[in-house]
Amino acid sequence: MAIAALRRRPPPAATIPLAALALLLAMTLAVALGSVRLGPVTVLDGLLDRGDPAARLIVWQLRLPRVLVAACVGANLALAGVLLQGITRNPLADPHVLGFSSGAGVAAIAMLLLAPGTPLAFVAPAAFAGSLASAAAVYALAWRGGISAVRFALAGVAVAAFGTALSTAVIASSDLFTQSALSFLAGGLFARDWGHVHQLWPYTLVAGGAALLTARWLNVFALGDDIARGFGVRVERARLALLALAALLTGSAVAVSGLLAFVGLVVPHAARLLAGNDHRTLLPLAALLGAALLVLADTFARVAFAPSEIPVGIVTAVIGAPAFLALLRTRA
Amino acid sequence: MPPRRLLPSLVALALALAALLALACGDDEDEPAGTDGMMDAATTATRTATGSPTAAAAAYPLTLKDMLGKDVTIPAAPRRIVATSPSAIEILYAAGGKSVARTSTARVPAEVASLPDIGRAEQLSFEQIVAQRPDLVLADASLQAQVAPQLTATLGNVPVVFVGATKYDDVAAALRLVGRITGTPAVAEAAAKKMDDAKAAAKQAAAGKTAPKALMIIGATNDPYAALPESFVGDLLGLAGGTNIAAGLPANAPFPGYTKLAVERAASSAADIVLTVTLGRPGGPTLADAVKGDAAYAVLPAVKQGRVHNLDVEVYLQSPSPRAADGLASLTKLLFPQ
Repeated sequence: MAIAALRRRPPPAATIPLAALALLLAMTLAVALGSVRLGPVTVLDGLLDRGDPAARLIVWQLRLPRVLVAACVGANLALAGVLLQGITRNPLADPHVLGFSSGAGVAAIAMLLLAPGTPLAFVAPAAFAGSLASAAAVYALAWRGGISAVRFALAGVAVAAFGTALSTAVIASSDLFTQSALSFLAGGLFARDWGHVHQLWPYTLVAGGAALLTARWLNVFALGDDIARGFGVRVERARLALLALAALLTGSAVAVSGLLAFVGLVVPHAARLLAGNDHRTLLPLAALLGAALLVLADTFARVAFAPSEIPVGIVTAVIGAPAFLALLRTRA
Repeated sequence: MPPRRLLPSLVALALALAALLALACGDDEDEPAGTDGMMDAATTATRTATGSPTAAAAAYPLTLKDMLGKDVTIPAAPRRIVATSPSAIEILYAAGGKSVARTSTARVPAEVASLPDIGRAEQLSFEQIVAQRPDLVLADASLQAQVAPQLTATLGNVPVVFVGATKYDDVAAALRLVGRITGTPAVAEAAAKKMDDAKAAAKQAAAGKTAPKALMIIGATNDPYAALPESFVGDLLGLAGGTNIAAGLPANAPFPGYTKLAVERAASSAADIVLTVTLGRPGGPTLADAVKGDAAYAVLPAVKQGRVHNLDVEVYLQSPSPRAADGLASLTKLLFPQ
């Protein structure tokens, strides 16, 4: 940790407004771009809900809700990633790796297939329940008078594999709506509208806000369970609360976006490299970066092969895998 | 942790992403930059719109039940219809209407090639549909049922009618329905009657003959599925007088109407004829080639007698349409060669 390096890094507090600016730019770009070319004035008119009706529809009904969904999903997954990495003290932890996503996925898919026509508002709670069930399973499997990072990760991998197998089994045993279920597995934001925004934003606001308040706990956790106890933290209780929060963030995101890999893994690391390990900075920074990353990735998914789209899950994996490797090398 | 290496790589990543985006947007650079290409195109199109001349003016507003069972009210004779799948496009044209846009893979009728592209039917660009300013959208009941709520909500007051065929008879029903919408019921009825006649002819051709046992497989050469009688192509096989050896098996493929048939079961089926529909590169190896070259299938009477045929992927699988009438006739000839 060279002093010169420290000097070149922007002060941690400054990264948050910078990331907020990046998110704003990303959202502007995302609203401006699409398979139909609209001039800046038309886009602005559309945002102000005036001018040409077709352009207004495109901007206000198609692009804006999708940008907001992407931002909320990205923020939720990134926060869940920071929480899980903090709780387990394992840099490889993320909602996908630890099976939280796959648990949420099983519940959401079962709901989509067994009770088609269920109102959207019920999918997120179901996914949360599935995610919570995964969390409980991982915790129970990893518990042996305490939690070790390695056992937790291994239990998570097992639960993730089990959940994915269960999802596939549910899909294979039902011949209804299987295409939508399969695209759910890949993760995507195709045809997401205001209904999805309304379903998701309360979770981002409440659970995301709650996550930001857990910074002190996470900072103490980083020092190890014993020291945390020394600080007066009821370690297991706090850990369970944080796991439930991570499950809530993951479940609500998965209910809307399907299984998006890598966002919860890569973004926390990027945030950590920019702002260090203090969770008071790390949590809001990761939320902003996660939102910005997914907004950009989804814009690419919409525009790259216009007028057709690719699932954003493919984009996040294609960006995420090399970015993750680059981050690992940078840290070494 | 030296961020001096991180920052450049982040910047590089951002630049790469921006470049990719710019590249992707550059694809449709045929519009003059700076102006609203979409607006110009759409206005021009409105002026030249060729709504079908309604000789026999239907009574609008017209309320009808579409093929998802939904009641749709059409306020006035539609002049700008957007059909959103190859199947919907073919049905619309055969019923006497025209579309102002096409999906990426639509090739029939040939005149649609010059229409604006609204994306693949499985992943439509709603933006492009809106930009065409349709006054009616003819969507696909089998491919687009899942996005029906979003599509309908996006289009607001514009009526969205779902048509599609999972059975042979559905095509004629769709033709008659669309004919009412476009105000060309006579054209639609003639096309529908051709479908019915082809069905009757197939029945007559098969009458009194022993039904050949047919194995019908579809898919990529490395991932084939057997068609059940519930599938569109399976229905055609039944109407043509073939016995489907997969009948009664569970529909366990990742799409309805098909089953993953174990090779040993297929090989011991004593099929008289094997019919394949290949998903893959046009002109590439077909499933029929794969069956002929597979030792496991060599015991089948069909293989011994050279009765392994590959069928057109659009007619029999991807675009259930009025072309299925000819498809049915061809199938009859394959099943009963004399």
